[in-house]
Amino acid sequence: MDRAEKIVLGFSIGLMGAFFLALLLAARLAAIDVPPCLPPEIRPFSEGRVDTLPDGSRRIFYVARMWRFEPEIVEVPAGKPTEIFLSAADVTHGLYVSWTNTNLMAIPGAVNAYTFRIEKPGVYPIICHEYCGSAHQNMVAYIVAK
Amino acid sequence: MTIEVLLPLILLIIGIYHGFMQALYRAGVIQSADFLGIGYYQGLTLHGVVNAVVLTTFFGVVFGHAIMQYYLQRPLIGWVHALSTGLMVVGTLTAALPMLLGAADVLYTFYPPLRAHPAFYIGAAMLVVGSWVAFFGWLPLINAWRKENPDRPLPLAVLGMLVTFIIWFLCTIPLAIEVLFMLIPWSLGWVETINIPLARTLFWFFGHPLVYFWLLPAYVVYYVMLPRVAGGKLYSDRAARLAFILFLIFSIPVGLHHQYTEPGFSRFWKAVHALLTFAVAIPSFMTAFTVAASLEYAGVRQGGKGLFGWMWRLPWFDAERPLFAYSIAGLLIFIYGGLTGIVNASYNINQTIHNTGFISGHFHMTVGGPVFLMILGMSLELIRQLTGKPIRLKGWNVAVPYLWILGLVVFSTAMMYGGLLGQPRRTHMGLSYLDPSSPHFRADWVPTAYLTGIGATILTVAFVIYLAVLFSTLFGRAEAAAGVLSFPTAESLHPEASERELVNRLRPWLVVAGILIVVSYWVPLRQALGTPQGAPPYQPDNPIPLTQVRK
Repeated sequence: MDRAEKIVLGFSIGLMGAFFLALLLAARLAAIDVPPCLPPEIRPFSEGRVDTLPDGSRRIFYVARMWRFEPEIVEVPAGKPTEIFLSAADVTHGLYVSWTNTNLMAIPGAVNAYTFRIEKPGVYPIICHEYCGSAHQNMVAYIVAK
Repeated sequence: MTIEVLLPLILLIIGIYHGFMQALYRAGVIQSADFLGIGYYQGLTLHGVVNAVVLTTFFGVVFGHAIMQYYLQRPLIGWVHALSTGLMVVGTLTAALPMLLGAADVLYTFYPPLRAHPAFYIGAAMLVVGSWVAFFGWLPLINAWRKENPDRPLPLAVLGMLVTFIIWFLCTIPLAIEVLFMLIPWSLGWVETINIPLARTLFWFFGHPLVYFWLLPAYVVYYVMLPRVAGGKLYSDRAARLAFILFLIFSIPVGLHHQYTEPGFSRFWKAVHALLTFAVAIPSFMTAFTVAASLEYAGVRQGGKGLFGWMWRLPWFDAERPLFAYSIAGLLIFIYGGLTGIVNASYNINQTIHNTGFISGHFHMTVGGPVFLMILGMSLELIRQLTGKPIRLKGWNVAVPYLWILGLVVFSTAMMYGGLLGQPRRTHMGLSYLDPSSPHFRADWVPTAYLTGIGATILTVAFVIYLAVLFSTLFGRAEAAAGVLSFPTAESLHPEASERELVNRLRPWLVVAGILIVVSYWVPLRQALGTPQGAPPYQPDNPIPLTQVRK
């Protein structure tokens, strides 16, 4: 290969490598990460629930089913971490908390999890973003940050 | 072979119509569950299956047939060709029936536990097996050519199509496992439940290499034909071969980047697939350079001066060389499409855009960009050669690709911006988020949803012009002998790689590819196999499992 091509090859490898390192740094330092793999002892559940932890923050157990989320409306304290566990009761669903990085798939047979924090009080719609049948477009829930 | 070129183009009328309708539904222009008897999700399934599966697979096979015949100077094996075409046509019709009857509203990813009529899966499997048969039929031709030409490397176009179909064959094996051993028995009711994470993992094991199966035939044209069409040479034959080899290695072990937001896989393996996805971007960067350098050479040779002067010497609007317009338009839009793809692959950045309109905006600039334009442009060229009929409405024809990318820029920018605002993909927004009387109405999504509709309208107009060109050509009179294949073929500017060099040997690279596949999928597949519960089938319109409905 000629020199220009070697430069291009080296440059693209360097560029993609730098991007990748930046992503890992964001995951490590800013704690922006993808959902983890939970141990298999955590079994799928079929009832939604909200727990209030001693520090006032919430742990929400969401069940996604055709075509609603349970619980439908949850209040969380702004500025405190909120922990989500997510189970699918029938088909595959999605859970996307508007204006946040909380973007999860609800997969039958496995439990998903994510922790996030809402700083600004307000109403945050949760949208189902995976096609789940004929009324998919109506599958909405709300988080109210106070 | 004319039938195999024409059948998917005719079906494409259905596919594009439903694409246009999607945009209208999503913008809230149509606020009903269906239009003319076909529902939103049914139309979305037709749009995806026809455009992304049927059209692309038929084109890959027929273009491969043409490349093998012309560059190896050998006829196809008759019965293999007939068997392959038969399987693909019957498979397509078998899958089309349940889709048209509304018994397979499962979208083109057919994620279980949503269940389609078994004929949908069986038809899709036949289409894939038909493409395998075509591929197996080329191998004896390639071997015979090699025996006759022991001291020459395989023609670049043949190498490119061979790599394309090796990737296709390898990645359709997990798909075949999913469809034959999980979905078909389950949809027939022979087994009660299946493992959903496993089915999804097998699907994406196939689903991402699939996009390189779509893309690489276009790369073959960019490397082999485009430099010659532009009046120049291929900058470097060796770099082109290296790019194909890199695709062979890196295009398969990347599927988990579609599953970043799913449970059941450890972060480490998601990150490994992110890194490998970044690696598969490298041959595309190389291609951008090599193709641009080849075009610069062509422009300079035709008198272009200065740093950018060569650009104006290229045959942008030459009605006699429409392949240039179709290629360059695809390449230009692919800069935007490729870079947004890197965004999607970016591990944690994906949290912002996963399953939003950003994804659909992106892939309309890849499979709906260079891939689609190459299918349109090359299909027309194949029809011209196979029928001997000259292309009619030539001026309109070269306008098609530019109008198309104009529509794409509007459509995809709006779609992606909407995605950043949280608009979900594949959702009938007209019934909720874009309906002012709905409690879910989102005023902040209105501008991008309307802009998407405007983009889709431009795209549809471009396609209608293409249809006018296609049909006036077909109904014209033959002026040359029919069935004589001939492709413009560029020489290499830098010396070609010899047949002994590593870039011209496939076996060692196949071993590397195999090792990477096993290493990258061993643990994720085991993690998926460890899922504690299976799932019964569901109809898209009923929250009660089909197994209970039947009882």
